[in-house]
Amino acid sequence: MNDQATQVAAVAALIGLDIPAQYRQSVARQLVALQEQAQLVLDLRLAESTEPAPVFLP
Amino acid sequence: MTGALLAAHQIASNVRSGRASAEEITGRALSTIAARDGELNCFTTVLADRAIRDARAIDTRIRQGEDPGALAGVPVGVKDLYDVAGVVTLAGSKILAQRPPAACDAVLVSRLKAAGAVLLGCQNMDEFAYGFTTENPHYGPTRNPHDTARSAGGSSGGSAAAVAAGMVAISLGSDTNGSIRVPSSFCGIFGLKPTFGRLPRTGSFPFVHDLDHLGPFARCVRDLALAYDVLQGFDARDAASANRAVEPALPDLERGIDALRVGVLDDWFEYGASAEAQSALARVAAACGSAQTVRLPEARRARAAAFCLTGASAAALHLQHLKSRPHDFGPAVRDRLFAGALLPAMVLAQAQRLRRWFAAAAAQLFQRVDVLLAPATPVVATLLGQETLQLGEEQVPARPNIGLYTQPISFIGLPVVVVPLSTERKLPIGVQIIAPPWREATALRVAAHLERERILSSA
Repeated sequence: MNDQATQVAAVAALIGLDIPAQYRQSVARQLVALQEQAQLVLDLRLAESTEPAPVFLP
Repeated sequence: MTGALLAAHQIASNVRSGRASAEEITGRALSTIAARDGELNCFTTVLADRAIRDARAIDTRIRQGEDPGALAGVPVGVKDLYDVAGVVTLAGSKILAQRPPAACDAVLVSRLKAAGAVLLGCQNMDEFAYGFTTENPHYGPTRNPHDTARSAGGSSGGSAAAVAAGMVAISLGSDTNGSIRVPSSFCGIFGLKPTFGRLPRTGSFPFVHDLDHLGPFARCVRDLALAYDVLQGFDARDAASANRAVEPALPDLERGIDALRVGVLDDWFEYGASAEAQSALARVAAACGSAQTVRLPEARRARAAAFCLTGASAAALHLQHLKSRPHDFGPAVRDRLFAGALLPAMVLAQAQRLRRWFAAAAAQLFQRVDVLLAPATPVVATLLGQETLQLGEEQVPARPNIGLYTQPISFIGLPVVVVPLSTERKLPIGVQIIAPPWREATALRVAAHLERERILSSA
């Protein structure tokens, strides 16, 4: 198992998720792809007053 | 491509006037399915006996002087995430196959039937709607009727291919990130993704509650508008359903576009577009008399936010099955769901903030134009099994990037009509007509104008 797969297993364990060993490498690849997209989202500087889109209507 | 099946409005007109029987039309559509579905794999369930019985009931009503409705005798199919009474809703999965059959029809299925449509069956899709190619690991790929070596697009691939192949006149699909618009483009038909909240999702299996839209496919604009008008209406059981009056699109269809300001999206919506996609967009823009190029800022990041929201939300939805039955997911879906489960919460919080900001930017743009144009897909239908795409100078993974022009738009719930155009290779490609929220009728008007201009090429 490579480093990323080991890290994926460790992070998953922290949230109670047991990823079967044979899937960890491909999950790690998907997580890297997802993280690239996440970084684009996090890098955008929004005004502090920008609220989230409404997701709940009482 | 479409065999002997007429357009839905023509079928309904013939059936209502007694010039044709619903049973005869249903029989013809079932024959087309029997002849072609072994190869195309559009359907997961064909309800032949039930369809013939329903068709006979419509014919009986007509003989008794009743009007069965605007879709009298029209053969339809629905993506296999809509509940159909007595059928297990698979949502393209093995996981749900052991569940009991649905007790009743989804709201939109009920509305189609109440208008006289005859349901022929449930249609193949990507597993849990998480894909753009309908290469389903459990039920096999749906093949493109234009070239069976190619994908029908996804995730509503079975629904689109069935319309393109003339098996049904109308199908219902769902669109979370592009799953109506991509298969419309690949199969060369019309598709409508309405405004988020317009059509109730009650009785459909979710993918991402916060992004899921339902909508129809058809082979002409009139049929698309006809189906859309039949489907409209609030339903309180769907938390996202908007309590708005029905706003029929059919009456405005022939109004033309003289007063409309049309903008062509640049920047992100040009990036990686093939010559075929660019040519299709240019033809549509020319037919709209538009030279105005406009920009939707940060569309790339909006697409990224939709990407993240999808991964994390779908992981939350499927978490219990990920824990208890990971081997029963197909590999592509399973790996992305596990990855989505590991995404930090701050990304989602920021994604939702970006969403509001991006929606405001779009609203500002819609003060200058009435509709926006963009390619539906960067390329024509990909080959089944194709792993990569050429986007400009870049070689990128194919599956996540087929929807790169559709994701920013559904992220903020805008209504879109996809119109089909032909290419030199005889493979179709679609263009998105994007309207402000609740202006589906405007997008349909533009589509009708393009149809009259004869620049479109529907299957």
